[in-house]
Amino acid sequence: MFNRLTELLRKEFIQLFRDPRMRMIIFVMPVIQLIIFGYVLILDVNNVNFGVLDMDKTYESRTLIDTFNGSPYFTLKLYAKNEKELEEGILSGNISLGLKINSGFQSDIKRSKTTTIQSFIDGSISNLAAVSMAYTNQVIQNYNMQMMKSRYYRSIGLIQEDLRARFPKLGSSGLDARIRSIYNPDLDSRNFYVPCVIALLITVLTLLLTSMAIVREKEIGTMEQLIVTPIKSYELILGKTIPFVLVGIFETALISIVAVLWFKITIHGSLLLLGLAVIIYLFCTLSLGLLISIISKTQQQAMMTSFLILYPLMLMSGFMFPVENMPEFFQYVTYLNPLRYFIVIIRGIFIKGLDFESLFPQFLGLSIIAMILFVLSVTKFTKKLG
Amino acid sequence: MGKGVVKTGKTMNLNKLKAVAKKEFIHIYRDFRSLYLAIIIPVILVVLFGYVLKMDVNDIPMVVWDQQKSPASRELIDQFKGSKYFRILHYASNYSDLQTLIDNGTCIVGLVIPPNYSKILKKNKPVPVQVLMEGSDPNKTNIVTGYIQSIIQKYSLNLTLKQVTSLGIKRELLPVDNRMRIWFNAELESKNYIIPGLISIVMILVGTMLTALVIAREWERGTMETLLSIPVSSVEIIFGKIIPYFIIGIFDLFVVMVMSKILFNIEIKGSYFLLIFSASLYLYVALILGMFISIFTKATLPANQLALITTFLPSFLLSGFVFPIENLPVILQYVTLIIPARYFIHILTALFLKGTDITYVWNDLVILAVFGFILTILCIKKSHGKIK
Repeated sequence: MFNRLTELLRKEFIQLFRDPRMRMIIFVMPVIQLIIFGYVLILDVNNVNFGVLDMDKTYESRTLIDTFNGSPYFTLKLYAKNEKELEEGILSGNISLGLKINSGFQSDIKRSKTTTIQSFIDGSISNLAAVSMAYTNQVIQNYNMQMMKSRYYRSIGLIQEDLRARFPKLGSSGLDARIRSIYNPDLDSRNFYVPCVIALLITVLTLLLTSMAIVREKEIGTMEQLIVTPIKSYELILGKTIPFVLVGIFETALISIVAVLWFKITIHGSLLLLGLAVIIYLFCTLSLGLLISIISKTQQQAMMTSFLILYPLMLMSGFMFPVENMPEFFQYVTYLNPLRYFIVIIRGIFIKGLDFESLFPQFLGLSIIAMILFVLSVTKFTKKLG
Repeated sequence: MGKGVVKTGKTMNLNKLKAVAKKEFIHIYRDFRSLYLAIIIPVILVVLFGYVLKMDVNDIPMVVWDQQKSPASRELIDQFKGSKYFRILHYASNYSDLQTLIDNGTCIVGLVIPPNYSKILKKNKPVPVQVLMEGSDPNKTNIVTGYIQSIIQKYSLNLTLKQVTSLGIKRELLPVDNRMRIWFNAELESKNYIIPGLISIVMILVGTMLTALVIAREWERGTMETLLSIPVSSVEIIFGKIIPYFIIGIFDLFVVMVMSKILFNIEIKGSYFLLIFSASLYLYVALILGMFISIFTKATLPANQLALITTFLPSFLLSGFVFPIENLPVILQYVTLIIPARYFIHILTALFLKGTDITYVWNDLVILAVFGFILTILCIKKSHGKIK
């Protein structure tokens, strides 16, 4: 039996790696993807392009513009001549914030009146808009703080030092908010997202590869040949899965190493535990892939079915969209999603350094799903052969 | 698109084209499951993004440990209560309570007010107020930090003003009053831009992912030789095979549009004609790209993977669909220039949210047309080479 299995394995490996492009796809592409997507997912809003329509054109108005431009978050991209240009800037997407400073800005400031400026924010990407709004408010509030101080100095007719001497307590009150975040204190998205990108990449790769595995033999017509050989069905299923298990494990190791070296991520937890999680998870994706392959008649069908499953799998895993934001019913649905457990495990091990005990519920959930899927695909497979 | 080629290509015969298209139609019809999956997937995506997935950060659950319980500390709490972004869920009575609530994810933000809060405040010294956050999701944390800072700053300014007046100095007016207005998506709902963006995802799926298998499959089955031996030109094969998928793609466009109108009242603000035109152009680019991958790889497995890597994932991540391009590292911003989805996403936002006319999207259209043209040439060249 071992002879037959090893022969089949040999054939599968040859088939998988014969094509140099497949070697590229399996060994090089995931690394490139990891690096690109790692950067993409660092969604920190660090740059808001803004435009300005300065109808005052005075020292004061320029100071306000400089305050914006000097902030690390804003880049001045457009100096509009009229309202239409500012509007066009937002419409074309060149800028996502437009500031309009009315004429009379300087005289209002000088006469210690409240002057009004207008800001227009492109709300199309709502998250980005929310952050831009907060940043804009911060800049204006800082500016106001500064201006208020100088106004007070002026209204008392004193220069700063004298004022300090008379009112030593002035200007130092208020709240000193110390915002601290737990778990990921330097707020680096890498720590949060890169482990998930690893999970995502192996999901897509292994699921799609296996989903094509059997249906391809069917479509080319080599399945009949395989059936007439003395190979047993479980041997066939093993022969079809083992290469992908190995590829999957290798892949995870490869991209994890790249993640650690390139993105300077530290794995806080146990590597052994991570390995165990990967193996159980691979059982899920491979069984699922096989199941798709068995029930599909053509490769196109298999691919579309994979996508039908991949989308909810990816989107409802808590990877980009937190599970707790979903409606309650769908939060329960996510318990059926193996990727959900895997993401919690991989994040837990990478970021928080959690041990087996704290991750036990996730491991249990993942194992149960792996078992069900495996049994399902094996039983389905024998029927098809018979 | 097809028409334009009929005129120029000398090797194109309309009848033969029809015959190839018909063959592919029959193939798709026989493979009925692929067909209905091509329609069900967009439906599922719209439902997922419309009902299930929320990226917006508001109603942030918060826990407060008020060690003083004085009018002054309650005033600070009221600042958060009054904001629509925060919802105070719990009042903790000690630090470990607060930490547990954040640890188990019940609350995202914890506010700690020191026991001598009003005392320090009266002394006109800065009061250290601690804010703890469940920071594992950095994007969310960034947004929340912004909200907290603007609340605290505003309140601080008010406190300073009060203090100054208490010192007997005449109260000054606020120098700048910023009137903020949000354009295009005033209620700041993520589904308003995500759902139109799905059109692009679906078109890549139907356009590139499905067609990538088309020619590769013929090679793998050995039917390509048959196809080549009959008197149809490679141009006829390419376009004939594209037509059925083009129709499915356009059908999907209508599925997404009708669903977003009926279920979410998301309606296109620009011109329908322009949308259909640009969608057709983009779909053509997607199809011909899939065809190119198919001709290039000649085997289904690499074709499938290559299509996935070069089109599907980038169209999600590098197109500005969810992740704004201006926030990417500069090198990646240049990479996005060769992603057709980037231009189509720009058109979709322009038409659905901004309601702009052609003046703002014509350059996107030109670039898409250039992509289509180059890929068509490459496809035809490559397929000629293969025949010999």
